[in-house]
Parts: sequence; C-alpha cells; structure tokens
Amino acid sequence: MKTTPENQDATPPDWMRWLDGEMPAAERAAFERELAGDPGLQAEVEAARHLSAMLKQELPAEMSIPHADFFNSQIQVRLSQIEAEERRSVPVAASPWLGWLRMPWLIGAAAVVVALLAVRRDEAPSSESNTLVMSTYAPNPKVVVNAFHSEAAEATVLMLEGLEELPADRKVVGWHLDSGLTDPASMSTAFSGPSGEVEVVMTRDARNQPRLWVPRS
Amino acid sequence: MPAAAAAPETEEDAVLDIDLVRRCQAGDTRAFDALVTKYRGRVYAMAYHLVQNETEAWDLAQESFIKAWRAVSSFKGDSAFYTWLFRITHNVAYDWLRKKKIRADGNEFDDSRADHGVAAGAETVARAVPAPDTAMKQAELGQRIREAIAQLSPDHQQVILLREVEGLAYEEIASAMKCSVGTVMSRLFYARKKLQEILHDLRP
Repeated sequence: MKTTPENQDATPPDWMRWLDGEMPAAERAAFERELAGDPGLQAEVEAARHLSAMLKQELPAEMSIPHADFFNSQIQVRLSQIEAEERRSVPVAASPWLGWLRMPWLIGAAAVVVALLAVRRDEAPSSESNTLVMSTYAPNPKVVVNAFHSEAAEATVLMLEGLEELPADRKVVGWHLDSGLTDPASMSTAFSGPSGEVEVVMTRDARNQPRLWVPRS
Repeated sequence: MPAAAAAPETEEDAVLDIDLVRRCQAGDTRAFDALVTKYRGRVYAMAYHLVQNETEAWDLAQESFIKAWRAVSSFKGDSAFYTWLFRITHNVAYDWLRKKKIRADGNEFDDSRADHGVAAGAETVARAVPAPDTAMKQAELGQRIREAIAQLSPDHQQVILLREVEGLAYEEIASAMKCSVGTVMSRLFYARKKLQEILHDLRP
C-alpha cells in the first residue's frame, strides 16, 4: 500500500522554514526583505499561517481523557500482568521457611499435594489463555516447582523436581479444592483417602502462608 | 515575525521526566503512573486526532503506554521523553490505521489517486470566494478540519499534527517519525498544500 508519495512534493519553499521558525538568523533578514516586496509571496505565507491557526484552534494538543482514573488503573493492571508473565518463565525455588513441616508421607507424585499454586484467571476478554500461575510454594525445600505456559497450546505445565514416593501408610486417592465464598482468593485443599476420609488439609494462615492440618495421626 | 517552534516542555519538566524514567527503568510502576498522568491527555489527543473515535483512541493510548513500559529500558535520553513517547504513539496509531484502511472515500491510502490531489508547484494563493458563513458552528468547522486531515496518508497526518498541534521542531518530528529533516519538510509542505486545497472555502 503506497502511503507517502514523496515524489509528488516540490522542494519546500523558503517561506515554510521562515514561518515555522526554522530559518537560521543569517538567512532571515534577507528573506524578510524579499517578503516585504513580494505580495504574492505574502499571500502564500498568510494562507499557510491561516491554516496553521485553524488547525491549532480545532485540534487541541491535549484532551481530557474519559475515565482518567480507570485509564491509569488499567495500565497498572497490565503492568502487573507483564510482571507475572516475566516471572512465569523463571524457576521458583522452594521456600525453606516451613522446612520443619517436612513430612515424608506428604511427599507424593501429585502436583497439588506438595505445592500450592496461586492461580488467577484473567477476566479480560482475549483469545489467548488467561490463566496465569502467579506464584508457587512447596513445604519441602527439596522440591522445586517450575511452571511453564504455552500460549500456542493454551496449556500450563507444572513440573516438580525432588519428589519422593508416598509412604505405604498413607494413601491419597482424591482431593478437593474449596474457594472462600467471601474471599475468592482464599482456598483450601482437602486430600482424601480410599474411604473418603480426610488425610490432610492445606489452607492459609493470616499471613497468607500455606498451613497443613492433619485430622488424624 | 514567525512564531518559533514551541518546545513541548520546560527544562524543569525534562529533568523531572528523566528522573521518573530512571525509576521506571528500575521497575518503579508508581513512577510510570506519574508519567501516564502527565502525558495521557496529549497521547490521547494525538490518537484521537488520527482515528477520530473516542473508544479507539482510548485503547490506542493504553497500548502506547504499555509499549512504552515494555521499551523503557531502551530509552537512552538522547531525545525528550515525550518525543520518544510520541514516536511510540505514532507507530501504534499508524499500525491501527494501516489495518483499518480508514479513508473518507473508503479507498486505501494513496495520495496519487486522491480526489483532492495537488499537482507539484500548484499555487496556493487564496481565490476570490465568499467569506465563510459566519453562522457556521464551531463543531462543524472542527469536523471539516478532521475530515480533511483524514484524507491524508498516515505519514502526512502525523507530520501535520506533530508540527501544527504539538509544535515540535523539524528535528524532533524527524526523530519521532524516524526520517530525515528533508522528508519532514517535504511531507509537511505537501500536507499543507493538500489541506488548503480541501479547505479552500475557508481561506481568509
């Protein structure tokens, strides 16, 4: 698509540089003498000046943007998304903070048993997958959680390294995820045994740190 | 005496912008929020003048700032921040216009086929026509001017807006549009001639 046919342009006249304040001082005096003696040149300059004045009057350099506060907040949301996307590809080391919670029988092959995932589903309409893994946490510091997202496949893959087999005295066959009714961001995960009994519950404390609760020893 | 090319900001503004940009480069989103607040009105105005649609201009202004954030680490300070931001806004709007192929007559941009084509060297002296209707509403005048600008190619629209609305100097326009000063002058001259032809009945 041809958009800018430069060859249509004649060489810009000197008066344009003079009108736009781009003419060096050394040339200006001579040009102004020429302008003073040329009515045709004066008319051409005046026509351009009139056009410039109309454009400045009708096309303000600054306009009041609708919903200004929302405009800024939406940008901040997008910046958070960008930051989350950049973090997604970085391997997250398990926090040693809860190392004392190391319990051999908790270590298992299922991703949801050993890792808490903060997942946010973006409500903004988009043709791309909007589920982002915001952060991960594993009680066992030996377990490393990596999250990879493929936009082409619209899939998020979790990889766990450092897992051990479940001990024979504990068997987790199912799990159930609950979100808080008043606070959707809060979640608890209950892991059940073969008879439906609750083996362990993972939730969050007041500092939003994962906690484990074992109903029976 | 012609008006000198208006600077878009004072020296104090430039220093403040540099400080905010450095904080942005360090990841400070609040500093970026300050820049957004400062320039959103001008970025929105530029986008609006090009696309003439509030909703699209709003989205394009958002996109411009997001692109600016993503690229802020590459800002070297060899031009004013606002000029750099203008370049981004220009590219965003240009891409949108190119995809949209907006034209008053529905055709692709092609100034050589324009109904109001101006021959090289054509005179631009005002003709003896009746003065504009003094009862013409300001909104109608503005609409006519916007429609006239819409008949220009994106590059010609941009150079007119950067010069006549934003008051940028030739060098600043060249930097924003990534072209030579000579190209800026050629495009500006052509755009002015074409607008005068389209708006011939509004001449003094």
